[in-house]
Amino acid sequence: MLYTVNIKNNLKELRIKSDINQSEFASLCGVSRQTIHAIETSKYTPSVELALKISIILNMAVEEIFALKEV
Amino acid sequence: MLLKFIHPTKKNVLIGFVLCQLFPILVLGLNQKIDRLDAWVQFELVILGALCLWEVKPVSQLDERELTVLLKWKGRMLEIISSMALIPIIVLSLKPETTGWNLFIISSIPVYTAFVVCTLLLKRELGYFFFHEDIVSE
Repeated sequence: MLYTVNIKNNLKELRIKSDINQSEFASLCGVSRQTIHAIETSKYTPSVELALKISIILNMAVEEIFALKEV
Repeated sequence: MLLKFIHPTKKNVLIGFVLCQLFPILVLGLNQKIDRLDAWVQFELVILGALCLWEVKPVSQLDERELTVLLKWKGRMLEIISSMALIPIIVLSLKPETTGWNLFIISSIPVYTAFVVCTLLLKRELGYFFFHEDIVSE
């Protein structure tokens, strides 16, 4: 069990829409494939730097990928 | 290429663990058998300890999540192991005639066990045991 995070994302859908697999996406971001998997399953919240990198790779605004969970 | 081949997937670790069971035979010889439970447990701990040393990549190449997980587990490990400093103190206060060698064994086995368990849990959380090479759309 990791820790609870209050940020949701739709990275998986956007990545699949862009036709990039986890390994390719991970190497574009400069992180491991496991980290991409952890972000997609909301087990890990990326740093601002990584979130910005992801938004640049997907050519979208950060808010379109990540959002706060409504509690 | 070689590193890709020996990547510690669950299957590879299981094969490694089973193959390592030959280690006691190599040490003791074919004619000997381990009929004492404590000796067998010690060998298993040594084998698990060897598997703990199986590093996928150097620390300098870890990303932000991996470093976070590594620091979290190293912190826990330090906390657990430092609390074990009480073991020899308690043993000595209860039984002052304990020899140095016995004291060493009593203190070191829990420390080593904690190290092995924490390291295996760390590697599990890093996702090293669940590596799949051909993920296209997952």
